[in-house]
Order: sequence, then structure tokens, then C-alpha cells
Amino acid sequence: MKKLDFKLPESIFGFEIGLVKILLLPLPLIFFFIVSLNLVIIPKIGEIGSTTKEITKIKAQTKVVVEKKVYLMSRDQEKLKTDEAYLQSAILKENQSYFLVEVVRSVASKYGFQIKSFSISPGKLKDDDKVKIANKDVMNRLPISVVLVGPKEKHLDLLLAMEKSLPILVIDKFSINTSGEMAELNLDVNSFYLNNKVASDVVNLSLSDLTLNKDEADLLDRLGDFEKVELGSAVKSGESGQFIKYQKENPFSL
Amino acid sequence: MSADLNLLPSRAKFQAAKIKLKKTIMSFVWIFVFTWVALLTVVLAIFFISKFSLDLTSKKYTSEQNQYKALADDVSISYQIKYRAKLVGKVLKDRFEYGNSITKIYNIFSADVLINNYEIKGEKTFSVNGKVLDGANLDEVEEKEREINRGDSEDFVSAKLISIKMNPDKSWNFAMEVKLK
Repeated sequence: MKKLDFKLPESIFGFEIGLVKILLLPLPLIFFFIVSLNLVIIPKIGEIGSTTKEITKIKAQTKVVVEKKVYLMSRDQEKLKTDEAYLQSAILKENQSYFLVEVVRSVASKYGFQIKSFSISPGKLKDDDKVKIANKDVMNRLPISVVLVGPKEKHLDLLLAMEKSLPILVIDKFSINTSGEMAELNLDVNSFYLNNKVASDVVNLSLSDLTLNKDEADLLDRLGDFEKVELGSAVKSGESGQFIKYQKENPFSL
Repeated sequence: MSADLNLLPSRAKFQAAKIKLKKTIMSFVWIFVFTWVALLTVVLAIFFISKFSLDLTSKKYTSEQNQYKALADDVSISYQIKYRAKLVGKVLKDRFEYGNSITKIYNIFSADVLINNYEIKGEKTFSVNGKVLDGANLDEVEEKEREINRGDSEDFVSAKLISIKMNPDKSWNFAMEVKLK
């Protein structure tokens, strides 16, 4: 069988084949360059960029978490509990006008005053009856009117004591009628209760959500001078009696 | 013999130029390949290091986050304190304090001027009825009125003597309206 012998001519269209071979040598290299650039280098550089961003973000988050952790660990636990107790006493837990009357009665009795009459007329809540934070209604006003009778010379002490009592009492209206050594005080008193329980998402709270600014820290110092009104167990806010089921067929019979 | 003198025939000169060109191209190829491989290695090395670093950072974050979550009770208490302090602060800031205001009224004059009673005319405005035993003490009342109206008082913004009346026992009764800051 005759061997097929194929030989390129020395030149094609006047170009030297040897020279063409030399000039074509970088072509596979260029191909390798383009392929590796598109498939490896550019995507990897992109990934390095996004990974670096991710690292920066996680480091920033870690810094925030560490700051929050350090702050929480540095706080005096006793002080934390005391502050919490004071602030819990400052706001009523629920809408209980009779509890508020009892608070007023308790403060008044320390200065020799007695409740002559009181009225509870919650009526319809107006917009200014609500305390708003960031345009959210968070606290409602609980109003009562009371008439107190007692020694005239003690009326100022009583007012000062009411304004330094916990729960916080706000006197909206005040008038005084005196007769001899006795005084009759007409007061419109308000206190506040929270609409909803304070819910918090532990993870997403920022450090500023946990730290007190100067005004808030001063407030807590100021509340230290306030007196918590302790009431008997029967009138404690939110306490309910035990349900007793009577086995009577006719509930109106003795 | 001069260096520029080329005695090779043209074919041989062409071959020599071709060999020189091939050498130059090969040098470029090798330099390019070396540079490219080095670049590729560096990019891949940085890529793996960044992945490793991300892994380490994530582990540290998770660990710190877990330690922070273990303090959930403290977080909750701190948030409650902040939240309630904000509310109570707002209430106290808006509250008009009758007790403190009346104390200021009673302390407006020295002990030589007796305050018999006061009347609340409106929020921050009080009408004060008082008595002085002689005319000399009435000067104190008039001076206090001027002092308040000059803006020298810390607690009051304005004052006005409404009436002055001399009694048969030479004591004086006066009524003054004052407005708190």
C-alpha cells in the first residue's frame, strides 16, 4: 500500500509556512487566557469582592454584638432590678380606676385627708388621652375626680406627696376651698396604663435601644426620690379572686 | 571587519531573522505564561484565604451572638427600662406640678410678708393675697413685683399688684397676680 505523503508547500500565497507557524504559536495561549479569564479569574475576583464585603458586614455585626454584650455585662444587676421595679410601679398595669382611687386614698390618709367623694368617668378616649412614642399609641390616660377633705395646713404636703408617688399621678385640675382649719380639695387626677405588653426582639435590638441617655438616667435618679404606694393585697392591681362554683340549681334562692 | 557587514546570502539571513523572531516570541510566551500562572495562583490563593477568613469571622460572630443570647433576660430588662423611662419621662415633662408651684408661691416673699391664701387663675397663673404689718414691708412686695417684671426671678415670668388696702391697725393687705415660668 502506498503511504500517503502530505507535505505543506514552503509558502502559501507568498507567506512562509515556517513563519506562519511561529506567528500562530501564541494562539492557543490567547485561547487559554480568554477561557481562564472568563471562567476562573473574573468570577473569583467577583467572589473575593463579595466575600470581603460579607466579612466586613459580619465584623461590624460582631462589633455591635460585642458592644451590647460588654454593656450588659458591665451593668450593675442590683441597680437594673431596682430601676425596673421603680419604672414598673410608675405605670399602671391595666385600666383600673378603683385602684387609682385607692392610691389617692392611701396617699391622702398619710396627711389626714379623707375622700369625700370621687367619680370615675372614663368616657370615650380622646386623642390627647394617649401618650404616643414615634406616632404609636402606647399609653392611655386613666382619669378620676376626687374631693378630699382634711387639715388646711397639710394640703401642700399632700400635693407634693401625690406628685412624688408611684404610680405617677398627674393633677390636671386643682381647686381649694377652706373653712377654718379644714380644706376641701377638688382634684382631677390622672394616671397611665400601658396598652400592650412591651415586646422586644432580643437579637434585633440596637445598643441605643438598651442604653439610657442622660435624660433617662436623670429620670431614674429622680424616681429614686418617689415613694411607691403599697396597697393591701385585696386591692392590688391585676389581682383576681378565686372562682368558686356554687352547685345551686336556682342561683337566686338562699 | 565591521559589525554591520553581513556576508550571508539572503536565504540564510532570512532564516536567521526567523530564528530570532521565534526566540523573541517564545520569550514573550514564557513570560506571559509565567505571569499568568502567577496571577492565577495569587487570585486563587486570595479567594481561598477570603473564604477561610469568612468562615472564621462567621464562627466568631455565632459565638458572640450565642453569648449575647444567653443574656436575653438582661436585654429584655434593659429594653423595658429604656422604653418605660421614655414614657414616664414624657409624662413627667408634660406634667404641671401644683405642689412645686404652690411652694414657689409661698416662698416668694420673706417671713415678714404673710401669705393668707392663693387662688389658681389658670395654669401657671396664681392670685396671691397677703398681709404686711407695716408700710416698710410693703416696699418688699413692690420691689419683688419690679424684680419679677425685670426678668430677674428664676421662677416667675410676670407679676402685677392688683390691690393694696390699709387696715385700721396700720397693717396692709395686698393682692398680687403672678405667672410662673
